[in-house]
Amino acid sequence: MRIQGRQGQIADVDDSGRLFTLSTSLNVDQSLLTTGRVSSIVMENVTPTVANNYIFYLRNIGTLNVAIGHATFMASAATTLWFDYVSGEPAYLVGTPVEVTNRRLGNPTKPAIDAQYDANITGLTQEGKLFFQRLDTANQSYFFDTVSGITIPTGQALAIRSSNILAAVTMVCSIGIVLL
Amino acid sequence: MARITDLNGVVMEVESLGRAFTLEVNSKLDQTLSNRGHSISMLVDTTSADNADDYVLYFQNIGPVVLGIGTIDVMASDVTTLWFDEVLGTPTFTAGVDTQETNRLLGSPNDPVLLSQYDTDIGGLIPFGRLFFERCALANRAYRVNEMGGMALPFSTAFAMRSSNPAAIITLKMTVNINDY
Repeated sequence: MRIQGRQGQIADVDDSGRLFTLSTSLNVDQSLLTTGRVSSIVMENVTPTVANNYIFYLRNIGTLNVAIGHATFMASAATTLWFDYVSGEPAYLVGTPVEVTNRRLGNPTKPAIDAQYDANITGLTQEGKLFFQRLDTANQSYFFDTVSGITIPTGQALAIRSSNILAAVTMVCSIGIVLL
Repeated sequence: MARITDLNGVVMEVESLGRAFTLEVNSKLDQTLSNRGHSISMLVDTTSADNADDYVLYFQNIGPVVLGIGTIDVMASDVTTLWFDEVLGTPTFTAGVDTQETNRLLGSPNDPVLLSQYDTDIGGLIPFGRLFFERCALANRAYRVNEMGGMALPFSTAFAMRSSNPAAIITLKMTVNINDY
């Protein structure tokens, strides 16, 4: 049996028995973009009241997994950020909902998340540390790539804490709705 | 049982776990689009903001095919923060300049159907959501907006870029893909 293309070309097999193929690959974010399943979430200028306070909280309140892919950070002073897996009910001083914008412009799909930022989010228990990012220099952007992503199933949550009470932190993070 | 063979009768191998042997040439999406004449370099050849956070670049898809925005490289003559926002509304320009588009398949006539201009103060726009930012922390250094998936613009959607520092003269190169995959 031979595989034939539209113009009659025959698929080739090399001497070692390997079928020649030519494939186009998309990274995960590009794939999610085709169906409007990736958004930017924005946190802007938040400073912890005490060193290593949680300043960002995100919980999946939907039925599908969501995943954090990568982020861009900037801070007004040097600081270290930690991403932690957390449990418990967050309590906020003020609490500002993150801004969510679908990266397929005009697409109304949004991830079902409860995500807020604040100067001091309490009520959380650290269940495990996931990643850290050091922002060495004030007012410089840093790209943070998890490579594998952080997958957040229904009901699970993560939080970010910051080490320096003088650092106002800004973040844009990608969040995808994962069907795999 | 059928076997896959080439013209010379060489049989495709399958190993003990049932996986077919293949020899793959893997092309990234951008490379595939470029080979088809669907990848374009778009250039903003210097602009600056009249006032802090004025919009200086407007980009709208006015054609039938979704446009993908890939890598964005920026350089500024002074320290500035650039934000890329989804926007609504009709832009107004003081002295708008068309961006330059060059197909990466040299000589290809394929052009994305878009409205893309830069200016020192683009008015009439309503911010609808923030998408990305890049901090140009050092003057005259190139920075790449590191967003691995980019963004997609269906028909009539638009984004705009604003700059925080009026003293910063900005140069920008952006990859625009005609996404018919």
